[in-house]
Amino acid sequence: MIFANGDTAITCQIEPTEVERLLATYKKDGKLTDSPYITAVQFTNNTVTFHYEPIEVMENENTIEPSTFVTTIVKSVLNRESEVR
Amino acid sequence: MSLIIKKSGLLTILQTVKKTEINKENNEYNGAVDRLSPMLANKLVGNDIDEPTIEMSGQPGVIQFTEPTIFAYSGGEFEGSINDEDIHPNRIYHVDRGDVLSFHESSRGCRIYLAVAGGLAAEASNVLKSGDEVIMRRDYSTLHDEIFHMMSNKRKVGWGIAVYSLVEVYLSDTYHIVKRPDVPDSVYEMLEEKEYEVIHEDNRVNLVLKGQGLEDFDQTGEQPGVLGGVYIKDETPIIALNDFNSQTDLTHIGTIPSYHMHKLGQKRPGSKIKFKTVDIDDAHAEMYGHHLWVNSLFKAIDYKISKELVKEKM
Repeated sequence: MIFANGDTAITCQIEPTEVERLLATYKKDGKLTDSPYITAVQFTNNTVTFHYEPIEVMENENTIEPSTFVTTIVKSVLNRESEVR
Repeated sequence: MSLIIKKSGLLTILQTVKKTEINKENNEYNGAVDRLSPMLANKLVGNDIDEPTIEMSGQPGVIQFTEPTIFAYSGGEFEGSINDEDIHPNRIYHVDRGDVLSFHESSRGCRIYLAVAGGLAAEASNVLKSGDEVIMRRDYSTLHDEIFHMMSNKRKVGWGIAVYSLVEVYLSDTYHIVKRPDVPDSVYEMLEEKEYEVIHEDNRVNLVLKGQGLEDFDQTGEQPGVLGGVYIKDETPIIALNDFNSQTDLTHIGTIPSYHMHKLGQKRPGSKIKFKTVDIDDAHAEMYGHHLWVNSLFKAIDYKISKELVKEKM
């Protein structure tokens, strides 16, 4: 499940094993994506939360739906990790 | 030379505007609870809007200046005094060595943010106790020099940001909450049905509310602790503030958008809160409107300062 966690975060509720894999990547690379819009990543045992600055996304990408834009980035992170698996 | 904290008040802390990863002296810089007020105070004294300010909650402290200083404070309606002269929020003041700044009780709000021209830094802990000193960074720009010159023979300017300019962001008791898809509609219906009352704030951690009980429900695993997150504890909502845990076992039902966090940061026991659920696209439209409003306010401040500077030169 992926959802907007307020106006500045997207949270993915996923399997703990998947969180562990993402956390390992994050610890190794210091990031999960090259996107400049993700300002911080937060982990619990079964969620990963991506923080972003909506105004930057709206103005730079000329969109009124920054959440949809960032969700696409988040999905690509999740898909890439599942492909690695 | 520095600022001396003569009395620390209830909670006085040097704080950044946004959460910042500065791991110095084990200090936590999780951002200002009311993020708009420190930006306004900084703007008034010619600082970068993100410059750290002194956040004072509940009963503000007493501060002594040790050199000529330009300062402003914003936030709750705390009237103050320098020596025996009355001062007000959202105005620019010039003080001298030895002057002492103190505050009276607030008629609205519970926090103020003190900005000093040239910036501030913590000497050790950013939680300030009586007797502590705060370093004046003196990172002066040309604008600071001009403001100092403008105020060289006066204690204050004749204008400030009037209360009615800030009504839009501070006076309403209605708070948007962005829904999440796994929460039953019945929870949101109950949440929106009646007003809640703030009964307690764990300093900068969370606000505890009382009002209509909410049915708890099963949610998988730990939830992220996010600023503005609304969680169910003992069947009533609590709202996460800046120092809330990064993860929690509490049930999370949604999150208050950033554009409503300023007024939340000024709520005190007895204040009312009415929730209104919104979807994320509506929240972003509101957020953008708020962003434009803040920018127009900053431009108005720039205009007033430049007008004052021109007047001084004539």
